[in-house]
Amino acid sequence: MVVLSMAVYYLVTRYTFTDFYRRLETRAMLAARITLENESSSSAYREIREQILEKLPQEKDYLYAIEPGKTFVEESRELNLPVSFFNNIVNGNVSEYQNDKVFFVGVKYTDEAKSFISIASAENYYYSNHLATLKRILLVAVVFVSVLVLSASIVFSRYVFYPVSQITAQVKEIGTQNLHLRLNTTSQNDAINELKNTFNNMLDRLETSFATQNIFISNASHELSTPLTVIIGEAEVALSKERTSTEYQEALTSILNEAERLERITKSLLFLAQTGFDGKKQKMEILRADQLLWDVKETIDRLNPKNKVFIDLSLIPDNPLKLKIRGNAQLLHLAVSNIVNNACKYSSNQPVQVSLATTNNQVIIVIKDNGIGIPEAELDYIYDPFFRASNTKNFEGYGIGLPLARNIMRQHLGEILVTSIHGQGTTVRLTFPLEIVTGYSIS
Amino acid sequence: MRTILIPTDFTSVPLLLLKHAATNMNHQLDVIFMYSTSLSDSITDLLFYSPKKLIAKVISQDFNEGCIIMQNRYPDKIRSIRYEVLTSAHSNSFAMLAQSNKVDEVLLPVDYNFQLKHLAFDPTRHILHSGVPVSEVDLHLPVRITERDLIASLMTN
Repeated sequence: MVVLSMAVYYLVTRYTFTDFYRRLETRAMLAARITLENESSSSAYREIREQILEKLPQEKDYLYAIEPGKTFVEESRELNLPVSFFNNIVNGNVSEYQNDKVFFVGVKYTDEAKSFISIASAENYYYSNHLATLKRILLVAVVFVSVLVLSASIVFSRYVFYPVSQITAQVKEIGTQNLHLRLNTTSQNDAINELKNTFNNMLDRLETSFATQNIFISNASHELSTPLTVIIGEAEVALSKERTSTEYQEALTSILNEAERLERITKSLLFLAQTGFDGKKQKMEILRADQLLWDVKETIDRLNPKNKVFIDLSLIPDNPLKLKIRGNAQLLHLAVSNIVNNACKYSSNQPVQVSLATTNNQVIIVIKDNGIGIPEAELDYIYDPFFRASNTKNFEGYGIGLPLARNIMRQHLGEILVTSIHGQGTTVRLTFPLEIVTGYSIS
Repeated sequence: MRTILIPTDFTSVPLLLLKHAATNMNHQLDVIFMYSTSLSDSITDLLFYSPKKLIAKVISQDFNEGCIIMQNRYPDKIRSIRYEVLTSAHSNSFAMLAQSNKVDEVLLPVDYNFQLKHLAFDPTRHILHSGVPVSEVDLHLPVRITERDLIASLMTN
């Protein structure tokens, strides 16, 4: 911008000078003709000069005869011009000279016999006035445009970085207390959105591990406290008064049984810790969806022997390759067994139907119960950790299972869809992407 | 081989009829889902009439997936699934449609009220009057409230 202004200023100055010198040259020629030509043509020239040519400020003409041997030193001193100016004219060139605002042009005019030097001088109005205005305009323009560009770039950079600062603000809000919060993503497929999705995925993983830990702690402490209570009770009863040795033996046997149970639990916990959530990257493997359901059924049978879970495989395809999903067996098992267990729990062990089907790119598991359902107004909140629907007061629970299941589904790029009619039952649809297994393998 | 026609409203019921047919019939099946709808009065709609677009407008993703589930389950039995549009509420026009498509049998659900959207109509009366063989299937559906998850009800009924 500055360079452009300087270039404009320089070029305009150059042009003004050249133009002005040309005008002075014309005047010098005319002045010589007016003085030296015969009467008739000189009056014609005068007329031209007075009527057509504009009167310049401080316009003056000088005319000197060139005589051999003349040096023009006096003239040059008089007009404050260098001698070379005159010598140049004598040699037949046009001389130009600038003395502050006053410009001089000299030409050589040759009459029939003699040669003359004709000098025209005038103050360059353009130089003194117009160029100053131009300089001002350019300066103001440079300042104005700089301010404009600066503010525009500030606004634009704010606009560009707005999504980033938004992300920063949103991420700052998320702490351990509200890990369920997520960044708002848009449907646009740009880098910012990708960043948001990455953050959200990270939060999913964090939340899952937090929730898993919570469930784990509550379950573990419950499991551990039961045998301890029994042991303490037995011991207190045995010690309350003098007993026979048979009674002591009975008490000790009971205590031993419970202690062994305690040992089993701690061992299995240790095993779980070693195999499962040990902070390493979760192992993804290729599983068969029907096998997953049978495993879940087995677990539920052990936890709740009164369950009536029916696995309906009437819609599974003949081709076993269409049942493959990629996932972490333990996590998926946890998710599905949570949902099936809920179905049993909230329907008070009425029949629960678990069905499996596949489309060309999805494996679908539907778990349907005839239980208490979820009030429609509360369906939006079922994935919030620790949220429990208003009709679940008579059932034990922590409100962790479903959010955990959803997070596990998300990790496996799956979807979970819960539909429910209050008082009639709940249907959960789990959708997994079908793993395309190339080549034939039997598992 | 047998061509069966199932009047459809793109809920789970026509898919359940298909499931019934696939489990109980011993033939290879060419399935036609027939959507019955009056045409709109708009001239541009008539000018650009295309059964394909008409179907595309009313069919849902879930219904498509339901069809694929059935085809995956019975790859040998269900040879093809396609769609026809019945645009005239007249017994003759249905008879003609059935004839031109060489329909062997029409499956109709017992005690079912079609979920009618836009200009759709219930073709049951015209089908019964057309003289095409009809089997009425009792799906033992529970009392129906608005359907929420088509795939789930296909899989659990």
